[in-house]
Amino acid sequence: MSQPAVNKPANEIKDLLRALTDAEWMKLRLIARCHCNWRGLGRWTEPDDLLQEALLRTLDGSRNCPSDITVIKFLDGVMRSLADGEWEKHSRRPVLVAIVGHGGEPGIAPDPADVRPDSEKSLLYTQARQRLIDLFKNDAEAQIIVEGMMDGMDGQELRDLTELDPIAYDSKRRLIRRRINKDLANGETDATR
Amino acid sequence: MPQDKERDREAIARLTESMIDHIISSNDEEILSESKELYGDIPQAAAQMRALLEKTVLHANKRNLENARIALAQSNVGSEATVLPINKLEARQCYEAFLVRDSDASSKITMAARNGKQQSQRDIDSALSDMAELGAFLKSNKT
Repeated sequence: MSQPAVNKPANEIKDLLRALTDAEWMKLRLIARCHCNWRGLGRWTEPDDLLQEALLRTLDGSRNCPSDITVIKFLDGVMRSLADGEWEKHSRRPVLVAIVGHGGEPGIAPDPADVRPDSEKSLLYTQARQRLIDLFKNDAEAQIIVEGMMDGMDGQELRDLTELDPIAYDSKRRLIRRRINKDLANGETDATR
Repeated sequence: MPQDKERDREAIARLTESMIDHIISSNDEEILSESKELYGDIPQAAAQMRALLEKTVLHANKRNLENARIALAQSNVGSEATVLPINKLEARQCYEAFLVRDSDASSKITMAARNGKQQSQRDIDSALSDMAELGAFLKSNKT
């Protein structure tokens, strides 16, 4: 029989958060940025707002942190779930259009012809995917890694494909991440622009 | 096909996860160097995050207090003090009969408060209320 999951007590979480180093805070900020800009496509939530919401849900007990997970990993999971939820909420919002009712009274109603939830969602991600691949059009190894990651390939498979040793592969991953972040920072906060 | 609609989203989700795994496994030096490019002064950027945490702690405490209040209010629903209707005339008769049965009772009841004087209506009402609370009239109310 499996043991019931044990959660970190609220006070312990508070202490752990207060003890985070500068580098750990920066990690959380970078993680929030990834979730916000790519998972939610950067349209509705600022990264720091997303991080704050994750902190709030952890501190008020809405989300329980299992004792065997680090607080950074746990907050990553909460942010992932929030970013996904935000996207779902947005994509299901109906488009309202002006109508004239049977009694001649003007009003608004969901547009029955609007197909945005699926088509727009699909298009935004298609654009974002292409944009990410195009970022590395002058770096074949990086492009293979990016596309391989998108296809769910693991590190060993990607190293085999690119013939990079572990150190060079890690260095390439860092370059990829920084280029993606830098590109986003230099432009609008819109991954699909 | 539903798979096609989700394909690009899932591809980006996988890339995002991979980038996050790399952030988590990166050493402090790499993270600080990258963050400096994005956020400028690191101690200042970290101080902003700590201020955000303290603000959030206060917010969470407030939310926890509100939740505790709601829980308390919900736990009190249906457990208010039971109010039993009593027949005032019947209670008064019962009280007087009790005083007749026990000649010392009249002088004992609320003696300290009356300071040797006759019982006022207020004293009597108070005594009736006390006796009702003790269940003295339950039997007579049921009949």
